[in-house]
Amino acid sequence: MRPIKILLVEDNEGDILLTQEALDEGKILNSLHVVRDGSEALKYLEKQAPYEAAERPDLILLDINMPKKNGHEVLEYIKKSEKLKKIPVIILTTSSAERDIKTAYNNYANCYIVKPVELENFMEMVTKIEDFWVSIVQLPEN
Amino acid sequence: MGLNWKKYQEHILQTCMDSYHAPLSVDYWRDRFFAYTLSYILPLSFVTLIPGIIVSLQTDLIELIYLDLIIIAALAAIAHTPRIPMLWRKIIFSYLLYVLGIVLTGLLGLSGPGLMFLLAISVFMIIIFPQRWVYLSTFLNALICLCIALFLHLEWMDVETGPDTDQLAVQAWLAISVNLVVLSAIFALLIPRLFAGLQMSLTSQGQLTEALKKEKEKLQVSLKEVNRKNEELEQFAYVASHDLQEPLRMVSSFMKLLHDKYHMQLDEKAKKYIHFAIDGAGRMKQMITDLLAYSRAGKWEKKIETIDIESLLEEITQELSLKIAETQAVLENKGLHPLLGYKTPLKQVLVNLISNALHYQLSGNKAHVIVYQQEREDDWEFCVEDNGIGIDPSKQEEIFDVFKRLHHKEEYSGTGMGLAISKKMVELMGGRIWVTSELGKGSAFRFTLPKVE
Repeated sequence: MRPIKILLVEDNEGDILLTQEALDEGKILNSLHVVRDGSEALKYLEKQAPYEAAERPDLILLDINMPKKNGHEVLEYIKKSEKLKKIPVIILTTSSAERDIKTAYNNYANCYIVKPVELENFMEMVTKIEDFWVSIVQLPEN
Repeated sequence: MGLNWKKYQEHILQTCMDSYHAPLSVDYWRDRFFAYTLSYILPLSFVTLIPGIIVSLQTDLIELIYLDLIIIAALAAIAHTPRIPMLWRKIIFSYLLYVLGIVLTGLLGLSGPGLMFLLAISVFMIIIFPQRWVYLSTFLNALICLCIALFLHLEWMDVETGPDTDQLAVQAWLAISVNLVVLSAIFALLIPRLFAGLQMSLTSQGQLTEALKKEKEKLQVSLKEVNRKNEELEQFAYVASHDLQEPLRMVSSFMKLLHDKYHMQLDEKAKKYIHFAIDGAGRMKQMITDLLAYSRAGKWEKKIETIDIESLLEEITQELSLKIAETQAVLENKGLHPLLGYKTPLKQVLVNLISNALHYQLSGNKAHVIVYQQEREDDWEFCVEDNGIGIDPSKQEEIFDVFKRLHHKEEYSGTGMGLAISKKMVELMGGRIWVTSELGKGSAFRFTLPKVE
């Protein structure tokens, strides 16, 4: 089982830290890269400055409410791009609004997760995501 | 026939009425009265024409027949010619009748219908002309009578008065015609009083209608405003509670993380601090969740359906089975009956009330909860009765307020939102909710649901 490269698009420092902690506790040493808003995420994926050396991620964890470009815009961009659309995108957000959920799936989100409020549940969720996408799911080669 | 008459009348009304006067004024009704008069006078004039012709032929007064016909034609013309101002129609009408009246008086004297005509015209004129012309007909009648008297005196004409000598004829004419003038004057005096009264009621009615309309508009505006405010408030509560969750999640998450990861380095005091922080954050989270629930309490699918209350209660019992077993509660029901309504909020309200009934019990007491349903004329009344701790009568209103709690959280847990949500839901369904209770003897929560057709 090879480690995978995860791109976390998240503007909340607390959630970044929590995700990091949870991943650190996991069995597999996956590499996590963090960008803090939507337009940074697009630059990263398109390998634009300052991300010329960026590697294509195997999995994207995407928040919705972010400054500059929001998650829906990023998702739409990814799923419309021939190059990027195979990358699974997991929406990870505090919003449980029906409108957000619909929009996300309409834009071909691979799944939609509402951030659990309790710490234990949050940690468990991250490990489960990792477990599922790394151990169970067969991801495409680049 | 009846239909054609109506059409004919409608036609005359439409031709003659001009829209100068507001419908709620006496002048408007004067115009209308005149138009109706025109519509009736044409067919009726034929009725008077036939005996007139017979008499005229017998007495050799052929001119009268011509005059009658000319006047009828002229009346038809003023009734049916469009675009003549109403006032002119009235003036021509009065003029024609005066001509007829004078001619009849001149030709037939006191034995003819002349004076009667003059009186009738003066009444018509008082009714159809504006108030300021009210004495015109009296004046005209007086003038005509004096002229005829003068002509009699000068022997320019010969009127059938009875007495043979001219001097007596003048006196007799004056004696009789003065009655006409006096009667005209009396009508001119009295009829305007009726109109003034009519105008007064019309005006007050108009004012009332206007005030009512304004009041209604105001109400509509405030209703809209209230609805908008309500929506705004719900939106606010939703957004606020959503956004409040975020930092709170950070507080509790990192407090827990601190506790979990630095467990070994912390002393008891530090752990206690952390405990209070986590506990506070937890309660605040519950409050936010409840506030969110409250703001969403009006958002159920607005679908009326037949609700089988019995199976609804079974569902609820199933959901609360843990709590029921825990308190060894006995649930009873009476008079359940299917009804038409919204299932989601009804279920939520019953769940809230039954949970409260199970919850607010003295520890060790076996809860006994009875759910009644009662049909009334316009609504259904539900009652959830328990043998719990009861509610102080002075607090029985405020328990339905948002976040209202009567007990320490150590005694009885809860955020105090259940009843507020229940109240909101019941009121949105068009009912009301209240409680009767005696401290220490249990409570009975009642709510009504209007019957839906």
